[in-house]
Amino acid sequence: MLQRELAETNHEVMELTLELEKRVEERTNALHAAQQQLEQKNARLEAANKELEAFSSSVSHDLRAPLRHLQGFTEALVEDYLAALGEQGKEYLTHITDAVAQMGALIDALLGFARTAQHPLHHAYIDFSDLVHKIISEMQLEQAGRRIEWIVPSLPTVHGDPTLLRQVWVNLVENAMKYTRKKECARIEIGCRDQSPDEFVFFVKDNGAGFDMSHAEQLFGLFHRLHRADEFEGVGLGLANVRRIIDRHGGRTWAEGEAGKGATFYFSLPASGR
Amino acid sequence: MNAAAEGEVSIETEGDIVVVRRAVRDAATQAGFSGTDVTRIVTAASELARNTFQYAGKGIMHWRLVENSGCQGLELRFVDQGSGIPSVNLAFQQGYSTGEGLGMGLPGIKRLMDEMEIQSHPGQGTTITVKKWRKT
Repeated sequence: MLQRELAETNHEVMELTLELEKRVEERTNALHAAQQQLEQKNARLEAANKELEAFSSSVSHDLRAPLRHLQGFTEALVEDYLAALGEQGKEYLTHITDAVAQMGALIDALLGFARTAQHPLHHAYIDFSDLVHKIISEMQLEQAGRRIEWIVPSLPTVHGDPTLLRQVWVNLVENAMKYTRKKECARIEIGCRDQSPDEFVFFVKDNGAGFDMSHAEQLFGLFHRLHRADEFEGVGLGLANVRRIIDRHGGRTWAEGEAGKGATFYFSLPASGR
Repeated sequence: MNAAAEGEVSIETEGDIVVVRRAVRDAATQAGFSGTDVTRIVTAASELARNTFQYAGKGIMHWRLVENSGCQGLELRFVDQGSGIPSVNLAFQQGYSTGEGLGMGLPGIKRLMDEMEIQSHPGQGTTITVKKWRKT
């Protein structure tokens, strides 16, 4: 009786042990495979990113030279042959000059974007209240003749790269001013939602042109524009830059909006430096 | 105290299976195996002792501590003078399902241990040697 019990128990132990070992092996294998895949993807992504940076940096530099020639020779035409050009010729030249200027702006933006990626992070404590007030007062010129109601409460001090985070605020504030330009009374609210102990969530809210929520993610893409250039100027790099900078600080970026009613742009920063 | 480096247990009654289990458990613990490995070794030894008793009627289990290029291990050798295993290959196939309590459970035993060697000739008995190496 006891012997049978022992024999059966022993069988059961054997079966259980083997089954367990099989499962551990299967899961270990699956885990290894997943990890390997992840590593491969990571390496590919890193390589692609590096390539893109090298590409945009070299393209920017190489594009500048012919552009300078275009600019130089157009100016020479104006200076030396203005009389021979006539009215029509002068108008053509204006178009050429405009296009050259626009391309110059594009290249500058592209170069800036490439630089942002390469710029090593230098962390410091930054008083966001101070920073945002400075940025707004620096934009006096752009505010001339406009009615803008600013709502800026006191903001926390955060830990991050001063140059890059300043760029984030400049981009968001400029955007808010740009897209409220057609409003008689623009309202721009800046704030911080301090709901989580792990992160700060900052936002810039405006009552401007807004956007369709179905495009919310595309907004942060490279060269992605929801408005025509003759409506609102720009090359479509500002928000891509914002996202990149915030990503590098370990934060998130997102937007909410409604066409014609306004937009709110959010970014978060880890509260590790509290 | 100098612990024994080898020993043997004769298997003549069903009760000797328990003696084998005890001796192997002590030897494996003394050899420094982890708890789960001790269970694996005792489980395999128990199966082999039962096979000896069931198929040959009686036999001997001999254990010894072994070493191979710095690796510590335990070797168990089950020797009987029974009728032998007609076909070792077949025994492996028949015993594949350990859950049914059929066959000799050889594949399961092999997987519990690190090495397994079977010498068997019809009419001349069977010697099964298994080894487990300690993971460093």
